[in-house]
Amino acid sequence: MIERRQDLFRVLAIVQGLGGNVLPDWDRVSDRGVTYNARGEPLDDRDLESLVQSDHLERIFMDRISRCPWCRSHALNMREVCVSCKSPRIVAVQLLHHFRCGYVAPEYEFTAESDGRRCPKCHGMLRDRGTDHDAPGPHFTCQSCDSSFQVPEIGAVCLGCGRQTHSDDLQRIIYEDVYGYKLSPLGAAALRAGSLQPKQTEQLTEFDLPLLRRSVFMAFLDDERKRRRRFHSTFNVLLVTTEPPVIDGAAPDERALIETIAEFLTETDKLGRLDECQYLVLLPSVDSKTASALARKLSSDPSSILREWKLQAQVVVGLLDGAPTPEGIAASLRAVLADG
Amino acid sequence: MVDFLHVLGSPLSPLVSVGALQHWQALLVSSNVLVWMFIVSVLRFDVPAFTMWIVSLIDSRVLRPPGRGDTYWPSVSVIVAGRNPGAAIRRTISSVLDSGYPRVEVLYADDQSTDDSVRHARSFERSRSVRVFASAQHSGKPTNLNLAILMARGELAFVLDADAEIEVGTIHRLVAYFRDPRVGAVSANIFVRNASCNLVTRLQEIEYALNGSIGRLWHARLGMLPILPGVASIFRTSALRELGGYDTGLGDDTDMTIRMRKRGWRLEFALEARIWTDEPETMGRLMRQRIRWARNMVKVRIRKHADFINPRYGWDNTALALDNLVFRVTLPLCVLFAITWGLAVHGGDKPVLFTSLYFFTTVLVFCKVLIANDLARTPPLFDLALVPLYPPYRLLVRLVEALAILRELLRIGLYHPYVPRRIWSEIPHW
Repeated sequence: MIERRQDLFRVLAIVQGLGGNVLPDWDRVSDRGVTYNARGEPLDDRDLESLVQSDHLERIFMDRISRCPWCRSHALNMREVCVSCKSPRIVAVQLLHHFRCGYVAPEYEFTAESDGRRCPKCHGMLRDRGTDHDAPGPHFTCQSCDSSFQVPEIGAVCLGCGRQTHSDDLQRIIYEDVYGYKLSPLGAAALRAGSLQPKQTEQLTEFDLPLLRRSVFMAFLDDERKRRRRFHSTFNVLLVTTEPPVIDGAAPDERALIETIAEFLTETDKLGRLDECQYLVLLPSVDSKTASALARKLSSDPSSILREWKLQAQVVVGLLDGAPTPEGIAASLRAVLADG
Repeated sequence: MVDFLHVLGSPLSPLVSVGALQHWQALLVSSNVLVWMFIVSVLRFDVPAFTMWIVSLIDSRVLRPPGRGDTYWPSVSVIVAGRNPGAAIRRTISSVLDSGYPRVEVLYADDQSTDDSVRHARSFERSRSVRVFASAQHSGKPTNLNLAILMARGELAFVLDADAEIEVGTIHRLVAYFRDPRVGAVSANIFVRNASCNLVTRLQEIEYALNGSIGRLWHARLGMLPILPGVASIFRTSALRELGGYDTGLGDDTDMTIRMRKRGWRLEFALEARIWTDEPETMGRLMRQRIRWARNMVKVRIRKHADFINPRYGWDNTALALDNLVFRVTLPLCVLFAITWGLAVHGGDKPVLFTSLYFFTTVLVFCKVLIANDLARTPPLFDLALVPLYPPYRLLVRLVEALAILRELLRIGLYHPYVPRRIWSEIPHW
């Protein structure tokens, strides 16, 4: 187990060495169709995912790979096919609509003549588009079965096993998201500490600080939201932003800051991390008035540590209502901070 | 009772008095135009309905298609063209998909709706039996029907209005007629979905039962079905394609009916294939609808297909053309003339005549409602209470139609927004 943790820490260090990000390389000969490389050395995506699970890395969505439902190959050739016979032998054709008689047919059915096209139904002439005829819209014709349709279906043929997957079975195609990875605040803290989060605390808090890990905090927040929906209970959330003081060019220690903030909270309140220098405080069963009072108290507290970090707190519970998931909450709060 | 009416001086008294027979003898020999028109109308509109009922009592097979209960299931493309049907398109498509017919697809051709109709229709596309064609330009219903006909994969094309609903089993009952290779199209039986809305829709329910259900039934069994309603009719797709689809312009369903008949196709009516649709709920909307229908009838039947009377299309079609000319054009105009003339010449001095005609008409309608209820299960017997209001309602409709026919014959106010302006200028105006 120790070896495994050391391996993961080594991967974390490699990611840091790559500038805090590792991005996928497309590789059609590999099983997955994608690999992760650090200056020529391959990284195992299972290690990267393991570090995501422990909050040391964060995912960045890059793309989605389709896999054959029969052999799981990523060499899946997706193409438009006929809605009737599923043949890919379809062509886009231009439809014409003759105003005079209402006839609608592919352009080639209207015989080309020197001064226009002749309608096969009424034998009238089509001279000026928009005046005596128009084109109703995009259209496809199947050269195998002669069907006509506006929206072709999607079909897939696996270049690995050769089996076809038609529209009825498209939901069986295996879709796999491809991610890049970036170092999380917890990962950066682990690198500074020289080891991954200690095992006995890694489930809940960051190291031995009274600071819940973001995933844990978001789970608590989600619970409160569910409780409010079901029991109409009240809760509030404070967003605490800080600016780290620069002390002789060295990175400041946030331990004192977090411990100071925690002193303002009751035993039922929860402090968690949103991002670097950004924290969230969950206040169960606390109304807006009390939450605002606490925010003011934190923002204007005369203690030196909070002043040094230029701490600002605001009530943000209203911003969370529209977000469906914890990830959505984090994204919307970040968007507020970016705007603000 | 007789004494009581006499005391009141009621105009009904001659109908029930001892001298009634002499009174009616006098009316008949008096050559009163209204009386003779009434007698001709009874022969044309009522006698066939009573005959149909008697025939059905003798042999009920006349009400149903041949080969009932078998497993003849040709593929059917349900074609819906619409502009701004909104969420109603969901009910229409759902009713088709839930109709129980095994080989069916729905093609919705949207005529550049400005609402969320396309979104509603596309929500069914995943079912694979539904395809949506969203037109880039507003081109009118016939063009969009033609687009859908082009895309249809079924052997049969079922043209359905965007606000109509079909019952479970309706398509089964319609397709059964196509076992006969001479049948080119079948009309469904149209019911008023919003009948309970108000008096106007109730009266239309009676009208649809008498003229639609019973009228079309006997016409079809005589091989003289005059209309394949645009609300719901099913065609052989090959027949539609041979004809080049619908012609642009007004009265597309009437036009298609005549073109099918000219090609020699037999047209049928499926009494048990029920379609539910909303009808106008106000008198103003109803009259506008009937004015449009009357004008289209003159445009299409009298002008565009004037040659339909030619016996080279078959004597049944000649009879149909004559019937149309006499009873759909001439009769309403005669009614208009006779009433105007009668009121001008006689004023209020013929109460017995007018009251007698009203009385007999009401009795006939009463009997026809019972027949319709027996044969077609419509209208509900509750509507019998409204029968006394039906003759004045029909008279009003006839008068409005007569004025519309007159305007159309004089070519007054030809344009109708049913056809977009850019297309209107290109089409021949019959």
